Amino acid sequence: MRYLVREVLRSLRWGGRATLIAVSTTCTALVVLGLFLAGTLALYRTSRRLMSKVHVEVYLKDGISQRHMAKLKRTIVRMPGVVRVSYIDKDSAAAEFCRTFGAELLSLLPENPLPASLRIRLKPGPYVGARARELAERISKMRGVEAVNYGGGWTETMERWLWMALGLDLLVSLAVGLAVASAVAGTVRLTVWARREVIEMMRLVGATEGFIRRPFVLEGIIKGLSGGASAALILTAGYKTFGHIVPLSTRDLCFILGGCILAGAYLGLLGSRMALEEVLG
Amino acid sequence: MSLISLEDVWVEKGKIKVLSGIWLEVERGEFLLVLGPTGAGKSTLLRVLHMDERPTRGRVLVDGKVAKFGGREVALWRRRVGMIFQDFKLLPDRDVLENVAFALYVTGMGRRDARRRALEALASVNMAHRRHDMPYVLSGGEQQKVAIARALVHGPELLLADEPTGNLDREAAEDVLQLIERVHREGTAVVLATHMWELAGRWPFRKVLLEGGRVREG
Repeated sequence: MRYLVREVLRSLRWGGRATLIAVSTTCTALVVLGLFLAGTLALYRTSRRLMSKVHVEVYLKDGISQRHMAKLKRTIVRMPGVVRVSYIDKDSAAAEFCRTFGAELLSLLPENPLPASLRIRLKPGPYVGARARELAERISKMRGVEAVNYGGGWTETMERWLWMALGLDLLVSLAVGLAVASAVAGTVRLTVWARREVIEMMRLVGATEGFIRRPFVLEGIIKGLSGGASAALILTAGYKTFGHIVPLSTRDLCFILGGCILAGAYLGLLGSRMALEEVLG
Repeated sequence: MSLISLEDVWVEKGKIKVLSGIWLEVERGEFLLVLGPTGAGKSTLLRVLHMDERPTRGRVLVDGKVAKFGGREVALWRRRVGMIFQDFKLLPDRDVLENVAFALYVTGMGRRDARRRALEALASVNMAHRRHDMPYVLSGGEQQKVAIARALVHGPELLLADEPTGNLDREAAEDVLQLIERVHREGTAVVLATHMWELAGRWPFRKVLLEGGRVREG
């Protein structure tokens, strides 16, 4: 173990500037990834909060019988994706209106113009906007239904944005992964070349391939880990400064920082293995 | 049972036959002198014995079992063998003691034990007093003695010496040859490859003449 540590320290010291470049490249790339992750998480949290409020409002025709309303309710509640259907009678609708907009407006009218409605809660999850639209289209054709409102297309637009952000995240993650692995691989490759005499000697005196490769793999992990930890520090400082404008919880922040550090270590490992495969076969 | 034996071993580099149908047995504790001109295939033969060169055809048997030249098998065999070269192959960035201890580090031995054993090995070749020197301040003869200490530090069963005196003056060469003789007397098998025919008359041991990649025992 001590031999392993000594060899790694020897390599890192020898690498000097190359080590610094690998660590700073890793750090920069992971800061970019961290920012994208933070943006996506913020978008996800906001959209989830809004999506949980998605419901379909089915306005009923005036004069519809209680029996017909009950039948409609039973039919709708059996539809896929529907969690709950509640009946809002005309009086409750008026009370709700007054709570939101004030009582003056309604008091000017001779009678309550608001229709009774069925409020449908949908099962939360992906494509809730599209599901709400499909449900609205189906219900609008039913007898006794005056109109159906599912909140317009904003839910679908938001979901589209979320998917695009996730796609972009994936692309950025791939690019960052490639950049970090290449940066670490480059420096490990240099170290392997510089130490090929030692490697040859190790083989001559009976070192196993695992023993020969271990210091280089550890070197890669240390470089990646250092880059990841530096990125985590920068992101923490950024969050302390701009955290109030980004809707992220401490848990989200820990997820991003932990992700950066782990990604750094893993990409360092990957980079060193790439270099060893290339140079040592 | 032989320590290692080659059965109809061929080594071909493209169209060139470096070794052609070699049959050779190395017994425990014996001294085998491999003689031949430059380019006869002596170094390749030693590399095959060291499992550093995989034969194109033929079999290598270690303790009577066919060697597969697999990663771990090769590493374990090399821990039973010491090898010295004409150009010493010392690591220039480590002092003499670390160069010798290095052969033990790779077997997983701890630093303290490895350095103690390395110092004993250096003492056995009269080089303990130079333990803190870097290889580049040593003479050729001294470097070869350090290389011998490195080859012997793990107590090998077989010492392979590839032109061990090739880069040395007469006096240093004599020192190294006496050292190798002593190693053999202490029970280690030795295979020494050289183009120096005068060594044939020096020792009463088995000799193998290698010419154009073919063996002629004499």
